[in-house]
Amino acid sequence: MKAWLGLIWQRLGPYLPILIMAVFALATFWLVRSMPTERGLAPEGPPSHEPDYFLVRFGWRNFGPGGELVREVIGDTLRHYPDTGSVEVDQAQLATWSPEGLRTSARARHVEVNQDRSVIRMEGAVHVTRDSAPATGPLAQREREPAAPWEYFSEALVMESQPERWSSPVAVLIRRGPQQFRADAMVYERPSGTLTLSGRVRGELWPNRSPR
Amino acid sequence: ERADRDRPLNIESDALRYEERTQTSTFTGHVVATKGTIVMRGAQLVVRQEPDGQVSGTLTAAPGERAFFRQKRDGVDEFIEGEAERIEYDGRADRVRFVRRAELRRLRGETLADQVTGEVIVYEHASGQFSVDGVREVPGGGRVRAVIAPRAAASAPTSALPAATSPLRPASALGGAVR
Repeated sequence: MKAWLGLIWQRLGPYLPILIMAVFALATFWLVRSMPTERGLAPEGPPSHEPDYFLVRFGWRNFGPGGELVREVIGDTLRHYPDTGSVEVDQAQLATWSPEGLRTSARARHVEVNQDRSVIRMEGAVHVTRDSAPATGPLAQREREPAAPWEYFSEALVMESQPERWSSPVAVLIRRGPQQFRADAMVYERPSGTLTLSGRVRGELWPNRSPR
Repeated sequence: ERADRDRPLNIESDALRYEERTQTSTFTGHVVATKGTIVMRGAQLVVRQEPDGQVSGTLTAAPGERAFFRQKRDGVDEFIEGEAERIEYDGRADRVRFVRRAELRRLRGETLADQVTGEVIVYEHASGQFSVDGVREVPGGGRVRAVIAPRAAASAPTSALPAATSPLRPASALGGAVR
């Protein structure tokens, strides 16, 4: 029996490493086959709208190439949603500066900004103040005092940036120096500088002071 | 009313379009504007406000209709009412210009005192005077028609007229009276 075993060992000995390698290869192949596929792991429904990171009592600033402050955002909480790439901010305060240095500041209870930052939706006690450049054209020469800033009060406002357009489907109050307008809806086209109000429009133009 | 100048101009309408470049507000649709005792009604009102706060506006009526303007005169119980296809209000000069199918009425209390019609009527609020220009070149000619009621003493009510005076006789009869 021993001689027989010795004969086998003698014949197979040189091939033993190859056999062992083959066994390992088969084991690895089996291991890979039995691993759950990624499809198997992915959840059934659409990706859930859960934030992947958030900030609390935060503030951030963006600076232009020349180091000038371009944008500032302060808020209680900020949440980022990976599925839509959007950002939501509670108790937000925003401020932006145009290349000419005109400042626009906004406050709202809730703000949502889409992925490419082209649409800002504001809700809840919205208050926007916007510096306005003196009117251009011949009339402007006669206007000595700097143009009064615009103030905008509402419960909702959508600010789109391409082209720049502000709109609100709910009641608005707009003030500018001695003028005050109320309406049920508003659209403001920044490039043409045209404000369109609709629905029960009421205008108040005071001769010499602001309508406080 | 002298105070009208210092009162805010309140405007109600269906829609408003404000042009930042020219700082002009255009109110459209059932426009009702009030400023102290001034009342204006029309289809469209274009308003411009000067830096010192004074406003000027052009009120136009819907096709086929006429815009309306009313204002109380200073210190007397008199109202001015006017209608025209276009009404131009100049707050600084306190002047109102009625253009096309223009009609101006002066009311003492509720009774109609004067009434004039024409193509263009210009009313100066400060002096209470108005001028009527029949514009000849307009096809059909602008006929001026005025009905001016005899004016009692400027602000004395009519009841204070002196007792009935004897009727005037032609001058030739006066000579006879001397005998």
